[in-house]
Amino acid sequence: MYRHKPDMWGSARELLRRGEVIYTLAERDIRAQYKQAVLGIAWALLIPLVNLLMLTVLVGHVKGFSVGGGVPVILSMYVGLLAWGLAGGAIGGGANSLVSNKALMAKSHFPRECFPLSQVLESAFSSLLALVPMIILFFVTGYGPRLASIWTPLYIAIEIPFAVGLVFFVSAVVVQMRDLQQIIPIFMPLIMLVTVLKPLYVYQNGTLQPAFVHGWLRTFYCIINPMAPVVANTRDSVLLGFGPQWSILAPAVFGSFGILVIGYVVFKKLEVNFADLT
Amino acid sequence: MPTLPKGTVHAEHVWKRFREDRTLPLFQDQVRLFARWVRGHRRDFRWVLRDVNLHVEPGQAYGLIGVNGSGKSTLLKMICQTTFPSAGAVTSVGRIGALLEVRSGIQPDLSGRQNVYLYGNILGLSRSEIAARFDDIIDFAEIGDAVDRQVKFYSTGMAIRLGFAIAAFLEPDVLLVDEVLAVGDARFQQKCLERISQVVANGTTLFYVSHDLPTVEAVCDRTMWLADSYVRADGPARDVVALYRASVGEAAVLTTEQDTGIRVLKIEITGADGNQIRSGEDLNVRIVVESEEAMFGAFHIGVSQGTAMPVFVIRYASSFPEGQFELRCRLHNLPLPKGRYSVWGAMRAPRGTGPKATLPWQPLASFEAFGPHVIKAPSGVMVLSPVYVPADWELS
Repeated sequence: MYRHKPDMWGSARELLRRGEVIYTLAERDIRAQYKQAVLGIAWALLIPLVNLLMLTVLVGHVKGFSVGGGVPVILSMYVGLLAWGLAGGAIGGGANSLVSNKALMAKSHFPRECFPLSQVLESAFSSLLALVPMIILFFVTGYGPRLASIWTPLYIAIEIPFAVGLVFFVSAVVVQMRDLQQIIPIFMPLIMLVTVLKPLYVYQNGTLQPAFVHGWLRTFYCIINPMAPVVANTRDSVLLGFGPQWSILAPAVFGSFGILVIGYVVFKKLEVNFADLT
Repeated sequence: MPTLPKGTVHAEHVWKRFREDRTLPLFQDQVRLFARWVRGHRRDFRWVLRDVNLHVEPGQAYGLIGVNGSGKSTLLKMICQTTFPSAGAVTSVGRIGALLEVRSGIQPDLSGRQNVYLYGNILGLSRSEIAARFDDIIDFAEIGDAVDRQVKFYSTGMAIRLGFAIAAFLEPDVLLVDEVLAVGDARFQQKCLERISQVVANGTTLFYVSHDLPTVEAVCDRTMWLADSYVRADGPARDVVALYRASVGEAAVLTTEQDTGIRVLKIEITGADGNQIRSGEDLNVRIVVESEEAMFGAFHIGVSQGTAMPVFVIRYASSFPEGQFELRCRLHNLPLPKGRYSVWGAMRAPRGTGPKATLPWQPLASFEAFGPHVIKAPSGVMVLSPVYVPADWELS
């Protein structure tokens, strides 16, 4: 009997060679998404603002959702949303990336990884656009970013493997088990709320105090949800001026790359069935 | 395995099965399947290809024929490497361009231009390589000003032309064409056939799937006939197509056996001097018919290559009695080249004149004609049906 033996390194190399397809697919999606909208690309700026307004109105006054230190709640939430957005948007859009591209998959044999990866790229593009409202918010609130913002690329570097790994996993599993299509829109906002609203550190008397979860549970939480440390660190660096908190970043790196490996292996294993089952 | 030249396609003992379809998307069905699985009952499978072998050299044009559901498209998908065999191995070397379904892969939300770039990219060409071929593609597709319009606002014909042009001009090493030409108008169809011949002449390997047998004969060198997941025949295109045509005739005999009031009891087909039937000579047909009603009607006889579409039809209108009668017909100068043919017949009264008894159009017998071979048309030109026309040539 024929057994599909995925050649991980070989396909990773082929993926690098055919990387242009990722750009083309992302470009197609972005163009198609805004083509017939009256407001066009302005939606990419409006959606994070609407999300922010909703969150602020609903929970802005609740204690325990703020990082403290005199940071305006609205700014603290927006930076959190932005840090979450890259991974969150990629997973939301990436879940269906294989299922909805049946026609293109039937056309030619090119790395299937391009579909989920193009969703990550697309999400990165919207995140970039979402920086514009943030700059406006800084002006409106009169609260400026701190110098420690230069650490953000490190946090993004931890976030990307997580996003890629999870999108690989989710998009491949959705092909076999469409249930996930229904589950994701329910669970993602929940995880988003916990990640963005519950700070892992609170500012007290000039230092950061651990909050939300403690002890070994904290490390465990950071491994299974690397987004929590990423969001917390981004916020603390940009708004409070603190450097990276390694005690929570180290488990996040572990968790993030762990997800990447698991996601990729699952993707390659399930790949044989994509054409038959989509 | 030694490195094969680009454009080679090789399949060895390829088997493919699909899971039986689930009946309903209900949770209880899953539970039942799981319960059966626990009891040791493994899934049911349906074989779509059994032990298929083929080897195609670069620049060959290979046809795939067979009735619907015989596995042609699945085989193409495996050559395209978008699906994998359940057992065996398929190797195709080089870049593969596929026209698998009409409009497939043409993105309706993108403009014609963006579609060209997207598809080219997926095929493995860089943007500059696509740009070099862009004008040829647009010219061939006859899209003109509509290049920057979204494809969803194209007419069906425009979208198909664009799809074909992209696949045919991006110079793949292997080109797969599945039943797409049937949609265009006659002029575009001919243009596509010419382009396909040109592409093949440039060294591209072609896989061509179609129910339109004349185009298969026009385009392909070799042909495989798939029937019910098995390979029924594999060889020179004309021979395999002839076999396939004959079998279509046989299958039709089996399906039209209901009694509708008129029966053909006996049919004899002979040549001029008794037995052998020869091109350009007389053909005698003797038919014994039994009718339940007397009628004033017409008896049609057609000669075909096996299918229901005859090469020509002759007709005899008369007043036919009730019961048995015999019809004799002499055809002068039989205009058919060497080959195997079927005789089809039908009899009915004009609509509204009373008699209910009819003989539906059905194959009655087949015969072998001897004589000159049919003249092969230039590559890429399809011949609808073979007719032998004696001609005198002069060159001055």
